[in-house]
Amino acid sequence: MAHLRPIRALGTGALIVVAACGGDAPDRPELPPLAVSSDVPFCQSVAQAVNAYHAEQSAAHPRPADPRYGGTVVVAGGGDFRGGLNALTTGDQTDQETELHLLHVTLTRFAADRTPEPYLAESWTLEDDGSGITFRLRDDVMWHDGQPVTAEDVVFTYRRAMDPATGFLNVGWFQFYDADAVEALDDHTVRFAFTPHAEVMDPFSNMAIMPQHLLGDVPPAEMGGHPFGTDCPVGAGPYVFEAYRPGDQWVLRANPAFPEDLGGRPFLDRYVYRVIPSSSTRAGELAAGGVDVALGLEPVDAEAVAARDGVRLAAFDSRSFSFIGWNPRLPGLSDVRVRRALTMALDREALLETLRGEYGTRVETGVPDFHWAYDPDLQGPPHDPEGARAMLDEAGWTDRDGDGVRENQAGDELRFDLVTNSNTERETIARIMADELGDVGVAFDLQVVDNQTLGARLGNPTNRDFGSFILGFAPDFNINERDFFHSSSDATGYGWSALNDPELDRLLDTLPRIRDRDQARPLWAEYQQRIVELQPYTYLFFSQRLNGLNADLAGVEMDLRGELINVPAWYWNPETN
Amino acid sequence: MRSPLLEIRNLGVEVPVPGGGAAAAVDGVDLSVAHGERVGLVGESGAGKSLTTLALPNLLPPGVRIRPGSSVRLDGRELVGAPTRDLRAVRGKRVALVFQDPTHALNPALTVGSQIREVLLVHRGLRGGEARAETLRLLSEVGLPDPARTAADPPHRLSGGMRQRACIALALAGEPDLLVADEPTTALDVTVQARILDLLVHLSEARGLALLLVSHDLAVVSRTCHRVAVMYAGRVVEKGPVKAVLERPLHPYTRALLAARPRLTGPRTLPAPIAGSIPAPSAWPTGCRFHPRCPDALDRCRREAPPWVGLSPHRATCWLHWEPGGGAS
Amino acid sequence: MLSYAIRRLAVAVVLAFGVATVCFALVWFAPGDERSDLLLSGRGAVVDTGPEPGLVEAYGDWVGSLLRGDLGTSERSGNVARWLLARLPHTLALSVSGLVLAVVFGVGVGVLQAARAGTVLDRLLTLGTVVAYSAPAFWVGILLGGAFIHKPMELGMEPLFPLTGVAPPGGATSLLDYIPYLVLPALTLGIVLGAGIARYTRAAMLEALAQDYVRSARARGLSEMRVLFRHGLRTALLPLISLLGVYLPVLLTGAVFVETVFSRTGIGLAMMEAILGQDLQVLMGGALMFGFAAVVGNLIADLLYGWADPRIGDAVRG
Repeated sequence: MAHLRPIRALGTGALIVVAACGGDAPDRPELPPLAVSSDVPFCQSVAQAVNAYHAEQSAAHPRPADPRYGGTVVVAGGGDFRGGLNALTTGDQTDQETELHLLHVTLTRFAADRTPEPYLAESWTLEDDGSGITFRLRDDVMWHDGQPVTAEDVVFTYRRAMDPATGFLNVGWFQFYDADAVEALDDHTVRFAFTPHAEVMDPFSNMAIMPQHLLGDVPPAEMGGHPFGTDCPVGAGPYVFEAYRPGDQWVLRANPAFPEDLGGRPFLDRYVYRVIPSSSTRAGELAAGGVDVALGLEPVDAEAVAARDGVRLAAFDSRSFSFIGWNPRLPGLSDVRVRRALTMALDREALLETLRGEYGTRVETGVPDFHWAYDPDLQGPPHDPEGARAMLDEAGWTDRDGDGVRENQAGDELRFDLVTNSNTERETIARIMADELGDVGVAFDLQVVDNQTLGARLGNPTNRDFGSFILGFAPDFNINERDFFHSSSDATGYGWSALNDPELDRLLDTLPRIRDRDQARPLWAEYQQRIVELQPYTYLFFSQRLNGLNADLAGVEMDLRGELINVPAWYWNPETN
Repeated sequence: MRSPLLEIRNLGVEVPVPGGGAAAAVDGVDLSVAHGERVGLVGESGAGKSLTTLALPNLLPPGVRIRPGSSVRLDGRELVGAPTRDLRAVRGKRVALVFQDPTHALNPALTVGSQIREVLLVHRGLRGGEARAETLRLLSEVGLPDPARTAADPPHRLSGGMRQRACIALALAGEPDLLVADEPTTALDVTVQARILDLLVHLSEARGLALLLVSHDLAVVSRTCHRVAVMYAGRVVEKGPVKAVLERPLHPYTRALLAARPRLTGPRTLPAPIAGSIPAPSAWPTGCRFHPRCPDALDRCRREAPPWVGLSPHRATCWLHWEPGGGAS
Repeated sequence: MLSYAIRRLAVAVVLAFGVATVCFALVWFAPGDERSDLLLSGRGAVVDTGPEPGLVEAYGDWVGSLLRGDLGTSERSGNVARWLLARLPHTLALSVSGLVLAVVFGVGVGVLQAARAGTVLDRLLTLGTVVAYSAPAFWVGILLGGAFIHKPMELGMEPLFPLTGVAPPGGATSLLDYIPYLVLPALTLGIVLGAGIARYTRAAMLEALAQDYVRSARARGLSEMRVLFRHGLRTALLPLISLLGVYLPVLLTGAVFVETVFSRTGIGLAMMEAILGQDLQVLMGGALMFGFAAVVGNLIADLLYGWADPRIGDAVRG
């Protein structure tokens, strides 16, 4: 007996009922024609062109009879993509993945073994001396408004990304690029020129190509608030923007014109990303059938999902690690002995066990154990509250007035702001910190803000008044921490912990230039050792990403590369539906 | 002879006593009212007059109950123990009540007319124009000068006297046989009091309506009623034709009431107040309940409840008038 | 009545102005350098440098833009008025349906309790309303989610209502599509607010039922239903009208929590996000909206009260 599921009556629900009743091939209704609309002048003509092209292509490429086609998937995550889906302006994990794998295309993409494979670029040639690379682009990839994707778009995208006025966060990728590094050789050929360096391929899988014909006239400084990102983002990827309801959901539609070689039309007709801030509500909605994928669950919710019928848990290593950052600009924290003592006072093993249970791994630096450069012999500071006390005494911080908080000779207390975002895990870390570090005489004033505000506060080079913060960070496969730790990064967005350490600067300058991994490994070990000595962060753990999935959703791949890497290949299992 | 319209026999009403238990605030009252007859029930506050009237159609407040063995018959039909549905058919329809305070007896949120029409609908099935016409007729019957306007007014726009007239019109709306008026003029100006009493007498005569008038004031009763019963501490202590009781009161309490009455005519003498007040039901004295306040109390009054004395219909319960072997009839 | 209405309206305008001024003052006198940017952004653009205007000038500018419906621009949320207005319908729908449910629950339970005062039923309902009254809205929401979604699913049924959101994935095709999403949030709000109304109604009914005119009504032989509802409830409920006016801010703050629990994109959730995001413009805009809503609610309650209770109309006329 089947009840109508009111939640998905519009999308997949209806077909589930039909299939469950008769066992026939699923009859998934076609969606109404795409109708992007906007009251922003810039977007009105864009929306018209997108709607028209989508209607034309839908007619030209009707949905195949394969029973895997059709239906809607609802993916729930914790945060909205406030900056929209403009790849030049945003940096959050889920919206970045939405840009890279759904809405937009990249020159290359990572295969399962994390080597680059062709995507928009059908082939490439790396020059022998490592000073340039030439990409040959496909000629059958179209923008969602029907314009072809050309070399001009690639040139435009990379030039804008490199332009400091744009404020592109990962500008560090282009450290070794020449000033006029990128040029179009013809309509479908692009050449990049740079100083030889390590992991040259990395940016090409991470930088989504943006439409020059729409954004070419937008000044770099206005890219951030431009309505393109929120009201009418146009990409060339397997999914087309349909609607954005701020704070609530993003709706994407299958692109019927996506080239066959690249996977063709996605199975699922519609992809909906819903904002549900609380992990337990996401898990609850997954259980209730209101969403099909619940991203980023906290361990307690993940266990509930794992124990339930009809849903399953996808737990996989992610590149994201959690840490406590210290601001070495402040008195007290400028002293490496103090930073080291803070790490020693904290029982990081117990913290991991409490917070993540089996879903996490201890780390001592930002180089994870699955990375080729990882040094397995590295030893971090031990958990040693006594040692921490002694070290703080030695650094001149003692409790002179008997109030339980240490002071220096001038009478300044060893007390810091602790900023973090509203998130159960981070708030728990903050509480444990206040407790354990309070035991050794260090006090904290906790400030809880949201993601975006935290980012803005930490990333503001002109006003770094915070003492410490709890943050997560997901590095690229190509680890380059220059933006954080090099003395030249002091006044840049990521330079919250600039250490001004010549030894570290030397390693940060050298490592990216060594193209041979075997040659680089000893230096990497040295680098990790130096990080442990300097303790810019108290490194906590790498987290496993915990996503809940509807058990009937098939074809899902989630791994280190990301959780949306193969959305176009997801489908509703015709057997069970 | 027709049986009396209302016949109360051995009525007892028990009220809860602080600290548990119950006491008879009305204790063995006998009283009857004939068709068209006007009977006064007189006594100080606390005598049990109001409880007696509320007990008739059983409108006693929660926790207060009629003692088993009591009887209230209306045209011979027993009301004590009757189902609520039957009582509702009696209330307003056979027996209508008019209360002391007209200000609070009317719903402040409804117009006078709508409250009357409600009774007309419930008891007489009148609605629409019929009900409106009857409402106006009733309002003019009780002497309200501008019935149409009064009907449309909320109660607070009427003066006290007008309100009481409206209450009487409401009581008449069900065409009752018996009107029970509990201190209907106490809350009103002296000049208004007389007019309301005249109205009640007039209505009683014009409609053949029986009237049970409760008052603490013998003067009120004397100008309206045929018969009177005097209550003290839950019991009737004297009853008889108004003229006889007023002119030749038997019970010292009745005499005291008469003496306490302010005189509007004749030589101005100061009212002689009755010392003390009626005790609470749980603390009623033994013997004659009036004895602690009685100027003439005998030793016997303290011990034994007095018998009925005097010649019917004017009788009282008092040892002073008791003659062994005679008197009681 | 008309002059009464005009007088109440005038008072409401003054009150609204007061609310706005308090909002301004809170920001102006708050410590930190946010304020000048914030208050000056009412001009449509965030002012970076230049001489700081005085209090009077800034206040004048700010009131001016407020009168034009301009709540300023937030770096995070864009045009604040637009940002909040887009959410207003969801909050209004939730508040109104929650209020209707609250009145139905509250009055129904309160009347039942008063009619059965002192019985076991009355005591059980008193316990229930006390618990619901003191329960946080989010807790009630979670319980309801369990009762209407997770429990039926454990029993092998489909969930009865959607748990979160405001419309089906992909958007609503008609207004009816919004209704299932309203059920649990409105129930939550209805129960929490209804508990207070039930407690009030019970007390007011008991008081009303002890009035002489209720005894008089019974003496007229009216049925118990008539006595309870026409005579008892009617007068007991008059003060409820003004109580509801006072409830409006409670209703709106209740909506903040309910919207958070059920991930409804209303003003409440926007304000919650604004607090975490230190988005003072949105916070101030939301506070203004809530303040104005309270003023309007009280105005409506006053007018209704004057209309429903003839005594008030006369008192102000006389």
